[in-house]
Amino acid sequence: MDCRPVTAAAAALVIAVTIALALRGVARTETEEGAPVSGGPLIGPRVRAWYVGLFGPLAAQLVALGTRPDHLTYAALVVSVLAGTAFARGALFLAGWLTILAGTLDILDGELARRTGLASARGAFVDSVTDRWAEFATFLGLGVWFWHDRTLLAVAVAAFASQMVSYVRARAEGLGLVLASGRAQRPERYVILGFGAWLTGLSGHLLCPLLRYRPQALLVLTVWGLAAVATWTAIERTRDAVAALRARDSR
Amino acid sequence: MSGRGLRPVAFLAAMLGFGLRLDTAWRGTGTVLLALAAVLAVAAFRPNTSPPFVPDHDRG
Repeated sequence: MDCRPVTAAAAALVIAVTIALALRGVARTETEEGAPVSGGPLIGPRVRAWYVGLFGPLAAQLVALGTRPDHLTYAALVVSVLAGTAFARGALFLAGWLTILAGTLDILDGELARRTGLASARGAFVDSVTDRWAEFATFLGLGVWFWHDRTLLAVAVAAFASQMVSYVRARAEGLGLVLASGRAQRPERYVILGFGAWLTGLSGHLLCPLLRYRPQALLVLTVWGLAAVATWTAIERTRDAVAALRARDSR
Repeated sequence: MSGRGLRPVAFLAAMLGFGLRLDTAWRGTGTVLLALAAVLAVAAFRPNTSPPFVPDHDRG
């Protein structure tokens, strides 16, 4: 058992300082949108605006370097495959970081498309399809790590529900509906899984000298929680789509 | 890139460095990344010391 509590303590300190700075940044961020909508995403508009603003200068630099949104879309897929590989090997801190990086690249590609005026139907389609493969790659790695554990069931439910959240929206949009509701959309799922893995890796190394093993209860809880919120989101979206279609059909 | 723009890059580099040191045998690479992150963080949080812009007609 490889315990690295000193490195983990240093990482925890950096993360604590960053969280304090982030909270200050979020508090100072102004949004044009009003109060959070009932049934809206878990991550509110203020946090989203702060995160996009944080990476604004980097997005501008990438545009100046001639980076296209597609490049970031494919980079997010590669990073997700690496995250899956890290999960499969039990490198939980690294896997969490890679999951959050993949989520950041996913946000940046949309931002780049808007800045460069390259937003297109082809780009949106490639982005959506690539996102599904990326999500599958991450869950596949997580499944390998939990191969001999009941948590594998939660991984399967979380993976299926995550795909259903996207499928219900795509099918509804195919029928002419606009369906943006849902608690655990893609950024929320990245944050839940990424931070859960990150904190599990960190706490594992910190507690390892005392316990003589690296506890994973936090990651198990995270995966069950993710399965629950993703399933709820898929059901919520289905209910909203059915209600909207019923109202349209009755007119 | 501006100092503010370097902040998230410094953080991402630091976390990759910590990740490599915690979870892999690539501890040397992790240390190099942590050093790079420290340099980026210093550049990102350095106060802006350039003189304020003053239009020509306001100069005495």
